Amino acid sequence: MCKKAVILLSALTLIIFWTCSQNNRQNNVEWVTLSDGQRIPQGGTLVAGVISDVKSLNYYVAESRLAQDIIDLMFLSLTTINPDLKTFSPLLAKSWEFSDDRKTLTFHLRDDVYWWDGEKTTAEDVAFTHRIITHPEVTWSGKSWKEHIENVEAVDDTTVVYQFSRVYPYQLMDAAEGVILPEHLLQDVPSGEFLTADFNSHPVGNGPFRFSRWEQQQQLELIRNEHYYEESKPHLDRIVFRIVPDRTTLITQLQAGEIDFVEDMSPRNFQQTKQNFKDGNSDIKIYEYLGRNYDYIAWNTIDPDAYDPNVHATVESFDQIPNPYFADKRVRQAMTYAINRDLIREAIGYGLLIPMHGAISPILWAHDESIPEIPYDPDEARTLLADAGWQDVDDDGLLEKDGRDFRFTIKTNTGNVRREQTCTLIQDMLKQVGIQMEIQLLEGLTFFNSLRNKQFDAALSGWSVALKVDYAPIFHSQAALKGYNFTAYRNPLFDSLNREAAVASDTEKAKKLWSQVESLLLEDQPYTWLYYMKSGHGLHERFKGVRMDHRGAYLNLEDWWVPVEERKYWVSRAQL
Amino acid sequence: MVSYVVKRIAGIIPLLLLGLTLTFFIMRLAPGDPTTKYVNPEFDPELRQEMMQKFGLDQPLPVQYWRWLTAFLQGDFGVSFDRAQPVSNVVKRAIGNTLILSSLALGVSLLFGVLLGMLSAIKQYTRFDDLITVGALFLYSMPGFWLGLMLILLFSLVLGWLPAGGMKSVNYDYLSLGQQIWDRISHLILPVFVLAAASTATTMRYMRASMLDILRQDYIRTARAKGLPERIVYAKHAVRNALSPVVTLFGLSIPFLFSGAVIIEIVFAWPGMGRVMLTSILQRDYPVAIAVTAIVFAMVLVGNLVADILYSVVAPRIRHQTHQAS
Repeated sequence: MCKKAVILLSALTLIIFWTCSQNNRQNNVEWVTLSDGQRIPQGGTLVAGVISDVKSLNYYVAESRLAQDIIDLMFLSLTTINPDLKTFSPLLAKSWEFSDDRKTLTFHLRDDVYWWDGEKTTAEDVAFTHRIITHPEVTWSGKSWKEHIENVEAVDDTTVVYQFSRVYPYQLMDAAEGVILPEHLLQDVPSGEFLTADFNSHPVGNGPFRFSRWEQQQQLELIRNEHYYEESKPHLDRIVFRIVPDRTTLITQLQAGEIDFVEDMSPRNFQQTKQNFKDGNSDIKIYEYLGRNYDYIAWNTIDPDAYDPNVHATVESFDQIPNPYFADKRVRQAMTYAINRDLIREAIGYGLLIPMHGAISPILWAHDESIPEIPYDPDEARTLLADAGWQDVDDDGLLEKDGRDFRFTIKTNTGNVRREQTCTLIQDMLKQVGIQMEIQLLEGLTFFNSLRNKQFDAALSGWSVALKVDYAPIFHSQAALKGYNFTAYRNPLFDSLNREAAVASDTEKAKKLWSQVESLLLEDQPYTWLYYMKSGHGLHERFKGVRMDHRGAYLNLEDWWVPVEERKYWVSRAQL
Repeated sequence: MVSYVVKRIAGIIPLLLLGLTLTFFIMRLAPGDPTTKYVNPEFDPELRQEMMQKFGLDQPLPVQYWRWLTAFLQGDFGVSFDRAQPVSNVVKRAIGNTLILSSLALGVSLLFGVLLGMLSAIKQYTRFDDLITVGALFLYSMPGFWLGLMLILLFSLVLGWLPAGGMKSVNYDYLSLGQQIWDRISHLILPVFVLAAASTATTMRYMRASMLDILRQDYIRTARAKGLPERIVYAKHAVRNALSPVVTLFGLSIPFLFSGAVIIEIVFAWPGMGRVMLTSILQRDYPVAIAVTAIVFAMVLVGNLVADILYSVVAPRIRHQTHQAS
């Protein structure tokens, strides 16, 4: 009897104690009122799962998009880009103006931004950042952003002046590219050691979140910057990036609640998670928007077997070694007619693949909706092939021309299920018009290497959309020698049209010119554009105030918050 | 004995150099280089040349080899292209993590392998023996990554008992000491089990065969005939001699301790050598790849040496022969 009472009593005490501590936790929460009058609690942790670790926490060393997203949480840039991917909003710079000749751009900085160590962020930091990242010994992979900036000078603490060598539409974009670094911490680092500086693994920034710790290949932890210039922001206390290299494990951890956020889910997981959330079986909510990537097939216009970079060192010399299949524009067009892109999107897309009609990405302002997509039309394909001299003479089901069967190999990188499946589908589609396509899967860099060296007949690859509308890097004839024009596509009309469009400062005029460029590329079909990709991210539904779009997933992380009753990790701010 | 060991060690050094030289040149035969990954319209192709220069890759191959060799002999492994930090940092961190995982797995597989092998030999052709044999075959034939994924699904997603990967939880630093210890252990259970499963099965089969062989020997019959209890016959006379093939196996497993289990480390998000090796090769991060190769290479040679030495300790017959020979 007595024993029972003791057990009961202690159980009761425990329960009371537990509830008390729960109440205690909730009582300690700080509340803030948003501009729209909503009262929200401060605090909470976001655990994001990522496939690979970052290389560095220095923006100008890091290179990967994930690293840039993370660094953008810790460091401010001068401006932030708007959803139109063309205009900008103030960030570190309150305002800016061009001189009358548009060769000088003056930024006026905020007066209330501090580095975590207490030093103020000034115009000197901006000028220093430009000096160091353009230094010949620093090999920042984005150096070309700054090539037309002649000089950057701090006039006083809050005024900085950019001098340009020429006038062009992307001056502001170029000036604003990249985060600002603290001069007082980096001025003593020799430029030769910029790549490996200690700062790169223990950064000091001025953004909404500050660096806490980085256990390489395991996790990277940021905590709230309590001295951020926007008062009461950020709301979350802690952001943890967990490195989980296997996709299946990553999704399992998301479902098991070990992580809250996964970027760019595979189409299959995307669809499943979406359905589960709709059915109420999962707390993982899907955020989807037009991403930045698309896939295409590149048709080589020169013969890879005859190509020798030492012999064929001019654009004209390419004419001597035409590709037996794809040098003829009609054949390239026929390939596009023969490939049923709707079917590919339906079969493997799970709602994440959308049509891509031509060269210009739908997220760019220069995109023209009215340009028609080349339809799936195998009969048209056969006609075009016949016009080009490809006919099934010996009745073996394969087309021939001058005694050569239409049989080629497409290359793509291994490990990308989407691309592998697409190749298999295309193989079958081409068989129906009498073409035999073999598939060769290559290890990532080996594949890139064969693209660069033009060692392919056809290649399925992809691009990430650049924010500057300019197709010279991938289609200009000069880029066939040194650059990314893998197919050695050459058309003087394109070269001149593209140049004219790229420097047009009047938006309406530029738009018209870009439509012409797009039509021309559609006619020439150096690529068959297969599909454009949506980004599908999975995030636990307890996070509120989330906004994501094609600019990124961590766009407004400082605005995210978690209702108190749904909070999962209770770490007091004093413990951080 | 000592002179034998010294001789063996002296033999290792040229072998190691030869192996690394081969690795150095074979790595360079792979298509592409560390700058091949920059396929990006915003990346100025001219910059590639600058980068190659910075990495010292613009020099002729023999010059690069000489530079690498002289630095390497002075213990300077260079700077990782892919991680922008000294190679020694990268490797140091990964080696510790891999050692924790693989030494536990090796210990577990030895312990259970020997124990189960012994028992199934003693109870030959019983139901216990059948069960163990089938179980061993099952684990041995199962691909590790698949077993790992299935266990993750079962124990983390369905049952929620164990974490799905990593070395510790997100909240590790805010736990009490007891909780921290359990947190570490709970993260080890699945990867150690999966990593140990296949080698336990191998060890067990070796142990069983060797034990059965020994049990047929005359001296065991003699031991039994003089009335020793079965327990003593097995423990004192049979097991020690039956261990010799297992010892060889152990020696040969030592390099695995350092090279790690690439796939298992990736499935369980374990930040070890396997991952370092894989990414360094995929990214053409030559300095890291060659440093990792050097470690594995050295371990293979040392492992063989240790196996030979242990062998002579465990099996007296071998020891006698080496003495007579020298």
